[in-house]
Amino acid sequence: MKPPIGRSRTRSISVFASVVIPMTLLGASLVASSASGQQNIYAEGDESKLIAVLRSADAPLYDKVMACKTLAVIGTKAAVEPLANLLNDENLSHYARFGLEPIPDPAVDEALRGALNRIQGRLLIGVIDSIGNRRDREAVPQLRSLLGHSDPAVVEAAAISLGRIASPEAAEALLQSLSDAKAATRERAALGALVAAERLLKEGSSAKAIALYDALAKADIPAHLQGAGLRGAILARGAEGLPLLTEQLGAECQVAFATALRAARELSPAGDLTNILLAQLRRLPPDRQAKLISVLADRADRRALPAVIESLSSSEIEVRLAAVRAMRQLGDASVVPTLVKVATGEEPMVRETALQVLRSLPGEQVDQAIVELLTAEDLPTRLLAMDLAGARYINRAVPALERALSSADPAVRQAALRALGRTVRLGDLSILTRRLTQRTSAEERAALEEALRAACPRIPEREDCAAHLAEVLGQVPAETKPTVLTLLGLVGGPTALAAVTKSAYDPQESVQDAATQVLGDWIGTEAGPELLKLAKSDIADRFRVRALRGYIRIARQFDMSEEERLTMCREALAAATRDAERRLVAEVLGRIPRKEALAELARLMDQPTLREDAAQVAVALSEKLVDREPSAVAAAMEKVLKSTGNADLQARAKNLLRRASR
Amino acid sequence: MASRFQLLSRRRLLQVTTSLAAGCTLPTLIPARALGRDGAVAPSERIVVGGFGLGPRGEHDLRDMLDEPDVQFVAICDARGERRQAIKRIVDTKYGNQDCAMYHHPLELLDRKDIDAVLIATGDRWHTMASILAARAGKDIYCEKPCSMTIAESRALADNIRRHSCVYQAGTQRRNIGNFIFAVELVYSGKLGKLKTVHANTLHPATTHEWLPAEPLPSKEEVDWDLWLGPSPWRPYNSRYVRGGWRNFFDFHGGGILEWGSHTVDLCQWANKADDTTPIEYEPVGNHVHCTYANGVQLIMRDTGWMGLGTCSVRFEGEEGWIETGDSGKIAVWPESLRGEVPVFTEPGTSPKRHIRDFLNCVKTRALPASNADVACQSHIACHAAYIAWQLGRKLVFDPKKEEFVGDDEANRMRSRAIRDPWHL
Repeated sequence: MKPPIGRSRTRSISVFASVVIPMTLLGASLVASSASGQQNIYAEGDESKLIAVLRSADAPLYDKVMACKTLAVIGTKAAVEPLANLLNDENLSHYARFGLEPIPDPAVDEALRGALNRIQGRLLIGVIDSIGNRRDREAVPQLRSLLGHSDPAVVEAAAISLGRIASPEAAEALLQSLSDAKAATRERAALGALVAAERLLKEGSSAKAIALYDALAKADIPAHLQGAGLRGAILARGAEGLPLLTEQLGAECQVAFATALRAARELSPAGDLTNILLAQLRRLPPDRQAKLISVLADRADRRALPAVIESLSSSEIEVRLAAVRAMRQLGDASVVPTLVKVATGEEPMVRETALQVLRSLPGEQVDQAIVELLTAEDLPTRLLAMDLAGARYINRAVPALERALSSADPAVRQAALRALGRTVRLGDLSILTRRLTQRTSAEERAALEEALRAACPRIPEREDCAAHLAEVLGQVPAETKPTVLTLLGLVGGPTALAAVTKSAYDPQESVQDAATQVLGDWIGTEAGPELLKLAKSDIADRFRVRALRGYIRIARQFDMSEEERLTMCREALAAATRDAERRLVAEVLGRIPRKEALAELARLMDQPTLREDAAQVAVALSEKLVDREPSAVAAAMEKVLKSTGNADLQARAKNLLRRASR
Repeated sequence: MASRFQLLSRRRLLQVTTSLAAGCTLPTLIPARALGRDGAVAPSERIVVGGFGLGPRGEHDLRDMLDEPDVQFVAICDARGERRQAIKRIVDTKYGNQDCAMYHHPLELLDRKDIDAVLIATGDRWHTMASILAARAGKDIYCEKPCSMTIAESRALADNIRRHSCVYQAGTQRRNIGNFIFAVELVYSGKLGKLKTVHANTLHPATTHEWLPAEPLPSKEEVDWDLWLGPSPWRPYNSRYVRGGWRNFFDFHGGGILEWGSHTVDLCQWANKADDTTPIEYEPVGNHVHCTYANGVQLIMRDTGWMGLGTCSVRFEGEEGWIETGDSGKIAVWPESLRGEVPVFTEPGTSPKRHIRDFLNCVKTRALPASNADVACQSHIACHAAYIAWQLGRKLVFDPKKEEFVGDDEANRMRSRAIRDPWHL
């Protein structure tokens, strides 16, 4: 007879009461569990009671499931037989294996081997898998015979389990099956043989591993499995595998070639692999040359650089592209002129690739070469150099970039602005800020603001930068002040905070709007007191609400002591005029594992519109607190039971009450 | 000694760091000869892609993938009829035809010889299994995170990917986002002094073993419940699970540490040059887990105390300075002298665009993507180990070489879970 499913209210019996329903079969919970608290469901597990559940005809299915799960961690030899009895139970066979697999006692192996003879179909596959996971050598004869099973899925499970066991007999069985008459068997045996070869190699039996790999590479199996064998055959041989690798580079089969590419990356740097690859490079068709260049690049052996530079002149674009990309790993300052030429050339894809490589090629000398190009005669090179100076954050480019701001060409001015945003330091900042008061096109204005947003947060002398911006704030017209306030927010620190706070009380609404937005997003707790003052001030309602929300965000988000967080919550509740903000505070209170936070939540439950939300948080908090503060939890849960109509919440509250009264 | 693959991984790391710190990525690898007169990519140069279980995040990935000129998306496999139809509509609208095929069963899609790569964005329970099935079928894989449900799955995933020479990209796209790369590069530059502590933004760790009330089983065409469950344990059907409500259930979800840690712990591993290992100690402290690497660096997994720089924040602290950044792209540094070195980043940390391009380029060159299976394996193991410590409520010592806990039988038994038949790793 199948056990009832545990959620059944009609039976209302479950030993795993705290997670399902609040009654137990045996009068006491066998395991302690909680949906959101720390849950060691194994700590209080009693093996004999769990076994009794497994043997019971009446125990709900859920209880049997939980017994299996718990026995997986605490079960001993005593649990093996009752678990094994479930192996042919359609509902519980997997759970039985869940329980059995980790139990170290050899009785498990015996039970699983026994089950092989009496179980069919998908349950049999499960048992085979468990045997493989336990690497039971005594099961090899039975598994071997299953390689002849009519169901390919059973054959596959048996082959992989034999592979995991990887005893000499298991390896031999797999080797033989690689030449089986049935394609399906060969293919499944290959999966097992790959596992076995890997394990043999790991255990020092390299000759046996190589034999398996060689057989796989030659077997009549799908190409990707042959390729996997080939990879193993190359790598298992180490340096002696190089001729095999070389052979695959020229092979017609794409899988063999791809295998060689991967193996070439996996082989250790020792040996003359780079020279072998270079020797092959020119013999290959263009698409393969390109892929081989990417291997040379990944190996980062600079002996390949001359050949890769030569490939930049290839007539085939894919080879040129691969060569440009390889410069990132192999190149240095010496390749800058070549790359600049490519980056200003005709072919869009190659041009873009060269640009990206130039942006990221490491080295001071590369920077110097780029600075020199800022005065190049031709415009494309100058524009490229400006882009690169910005992308590489080259400070010594500032004088040339400042000169470019006087250009008559708007494209040059905008490129210079963008580059200056990434290159200026404190002393150069006014090059940008003084332009805030100048009339200019929308495009140039956007470039200027982008540059300032990039520049200001990067300036190391934060207070000096903030002081400069505060001064600029006083000089710019009202419509520019939001831009400067945003910059002050990005800079942060006391000086910036003071300037932004002052603006939050500005008579101009647009300035107040920008300033309260910046304060509301302030990174750091120092904005808290200012936000609270604003929230209690007589500024417009929408700004007060924004300030209070900013204050609550700080309480929620930043690192501080529990005491400080609690104080902020109390302050926020005192300042709040709407339920929306009170709900936000309730959520923060739920993050403070103290009875005082629970008391605040209990007070919120007195307000009808907040009752359900506060109860929800109080229950979640109590699940963390119950062991430490049982009486506070009990008091809060009594209130929850009176406050909520939510059945799930009530069940959790009752459970907490029980735990609190233990 | 580091393995060949680990050496390769490190080389790859340095390349990514130097190439993307300037916020740039290399363009599509499409040779001009592959472009027709209309600019379309010739069939021989296209990467033919199929999808598994594309929900909201998968749809986001798909749309970015469809924007790549060398991708041809041809098939969707989903246990839910509604989702199959939704994805088909998106793809067919994009291509102006009715060609996107729909499948129930993963093996049907994987049997198609014309498919080169798969996009996997199922629920977490399927990620490892689907990736391994794809690897065995010779497909390359872009798989959303988290990539595994257990330590054993993490290992099986990495082993299968390497064994079958697949290109695998975990959906931990922050390895290809400029501000995170810059943060790692700043650590490597030595400007923060000797690295002391790395902090990973995680979520509340808990999951529940609860079952939702049973509901009548829908038709297989509507929801194939057995397939939806896949390798995870059976439980009664409830529509909430299949409509995205599977998170926080132990059988389907790795918990809050893994949810974000698959990104942020991964970045911390990278910053600590620990892509080939994991911390050796894990100590639960409230909802946080404090870990220690063999090189003495501390890893703090925490859900509070961040500066507000966006979701999935990380913080790297050295003896002489620190850097914190998050999904907003904003960066905070100390000492202030470092502010001058901070570039401008605007791309949100949630964007998979560069990451997808990285994957596609690697499919063509067979190079190793930024979030390859080996690095994903280690960062996921770290998250799983932390969650085990948190569940048990005690400090655990871990041996990264053996991938086992030292002297704690219970913890070791929690490293794996039996896979539900007929699936197997």
